[in-house]
Amino acid sequence: MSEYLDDLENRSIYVIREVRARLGNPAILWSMGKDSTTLLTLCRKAFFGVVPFPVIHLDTSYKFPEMYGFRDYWAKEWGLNLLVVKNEEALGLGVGPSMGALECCNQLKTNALRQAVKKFGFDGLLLAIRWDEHGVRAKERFFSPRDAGSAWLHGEQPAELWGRFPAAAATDGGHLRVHPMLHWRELDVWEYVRRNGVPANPLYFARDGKRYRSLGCHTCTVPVESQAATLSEIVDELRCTRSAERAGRMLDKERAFIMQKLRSLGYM
Amino acid sequence: MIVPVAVVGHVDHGKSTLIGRILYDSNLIPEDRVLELQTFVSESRRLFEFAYFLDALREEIEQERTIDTVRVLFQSQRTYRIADVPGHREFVGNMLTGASDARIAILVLSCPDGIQDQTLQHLYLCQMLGVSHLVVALNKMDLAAFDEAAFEASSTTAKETLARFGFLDATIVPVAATTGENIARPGLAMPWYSGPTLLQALDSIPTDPPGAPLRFGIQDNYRISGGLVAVGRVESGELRQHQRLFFPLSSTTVEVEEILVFGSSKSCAEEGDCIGIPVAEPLVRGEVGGPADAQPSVRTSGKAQLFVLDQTLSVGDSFDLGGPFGQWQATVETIEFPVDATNGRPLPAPSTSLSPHQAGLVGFRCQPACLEPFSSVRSLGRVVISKRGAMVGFGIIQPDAL
Repeated sequence: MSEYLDDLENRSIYVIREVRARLGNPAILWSMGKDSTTLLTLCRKAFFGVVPFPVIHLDTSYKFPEMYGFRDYWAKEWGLNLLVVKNEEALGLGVGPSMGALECCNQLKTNALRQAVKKFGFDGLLLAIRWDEHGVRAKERFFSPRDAGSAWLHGEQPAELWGRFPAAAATDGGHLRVHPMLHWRELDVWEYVRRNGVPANPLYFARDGKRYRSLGCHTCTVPVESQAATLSEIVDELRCTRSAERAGRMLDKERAFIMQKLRSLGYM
Repeated sequence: MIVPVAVVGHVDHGKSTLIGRILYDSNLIPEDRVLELQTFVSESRRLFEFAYFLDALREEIEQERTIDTVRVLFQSQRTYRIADVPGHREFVGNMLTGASDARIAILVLSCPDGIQDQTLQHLYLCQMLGVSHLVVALNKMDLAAFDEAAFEASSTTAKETLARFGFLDATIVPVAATTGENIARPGLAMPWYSGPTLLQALDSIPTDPPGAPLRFGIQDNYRISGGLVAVGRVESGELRQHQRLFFPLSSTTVEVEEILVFGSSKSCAEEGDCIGIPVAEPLVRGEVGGPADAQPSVRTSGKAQLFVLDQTLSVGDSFDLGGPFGQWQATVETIEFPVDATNGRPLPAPSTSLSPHQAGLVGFRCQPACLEPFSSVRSLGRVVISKRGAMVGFGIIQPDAL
């Protein structure tokens, strides 16, 4: 198992180091969930203890209180250059979950990100999405160019051989999405969290027979039935489960094509 | 270890159905996914198909074909990562993305339909990508009445074709993806067949033995609190602490005092390990080090078997030759043995250019580049070629004596 996790880690570190070598102004997206916290851990490993890129938190203002506390503690501990990004205009106009998940996510996450990319001139974004999370994400590449509108033209993606990509820098205000953990599975992430002591948000551990398996906004995420209260119990649970990781995420429940629609607009 | 497997074959010979079946039989489909699909199937008045497990993109279901690569993991004796690749000619870029790191491929071949153009194209590409073992799923045996004579006839033809592409030891398994015969479990409908199931055939393929000399490729240089560190990856062989590494591109010798990973150091690094070594001066990104008595080569010319994707590559063209870390400027000098890669058939030679979906042996000149023949060091023998950052094609470096 250790050799297997090392292999996953090596592939991720290769991709993360390519970003540093090729891009001028990349940033990392951090949602304080298990995947993106593991991504930060991998970055610290790749760069010998520092995270040399700005770390973006897309704050919808509907996140769990536990997530804000977790964010502030580890941002300080790891010396992160944290950028908290909000779509203030949409929040001012009262955009929220009552408008429907598609509109709310599009405004408070996708558009907030688009504004930040433009404002700070980022030419690359590192994201912790994985092939096994969702059928649509299974189509992603390690290096995925986006146009100025952040759109994902999945039908026109360049081929990606041997995990390499040609050096084309983003043009015309576009950016490169980079996914160093595409090849990880949910179980792999937890095994790695356990082995490497990656900090995990308390919401993931069962209380009163329920735990969160995937963390979004408190308005659109529900806990799943679980007795797993420790890292080892989570690993054991995932070895046996047949329910989907994002089952507690309402956005996904509105059918695969909503996810596809969101992603073609620039969602993560 | 995860073993990457490419699933290739002509459109409609049942690739997605086969993968859907493998996942379903391995209990890997989440329950809510099954429910979602059952709802979709009943609302749209379709017959349930295993391929729908993979067809997550809306237009794929609408058009009923696979437009991109899908990757999934499943477990048998080993853990496999399978890539389902499209059979359509226009989606060859995606086929390559799915198949590029696989050493094993499953060729899905419909028994009633036999070998078609894309079967040949995929076999040609598998050969080029360095796939070393092939298993044939001779599919749709249910439509051939599970007949032994039909199987024998198809496998005889298949073997002749496979031999043309260098796949001499392929196991051919009669399967029916829709009913599951001979995939994860033996096929009761084919009592005459005593060979392995598809998964058993996969499990029996040996892992390729290592044997290449030590190659350590440089990715970047970082200044950390302890000093300057050159980071890179062991591309082949084994790197040991206190070993002396020679980098011919910059004519530098480095005594490896420490093998650094964050927070600790190692006494040994193996193929695939991303590590750092302390250096006095930065090393060059893309350069490769090895033992002085088995030096990496630096070349200013060479020949590569290249496949052209969707542009034209002509004699005199400049292009970028990309290795694992960075790239080198190059110029096309000669084009020999042009082939129509859609069916593997030779084209009239001599040729001065390769059009999309053609392949050939391309002679080139380049800036001093750390590339070696694919047959010696796989990872340093693979090149991606691009013009102005857009990918034009890919290929493998041939031995110099050729």
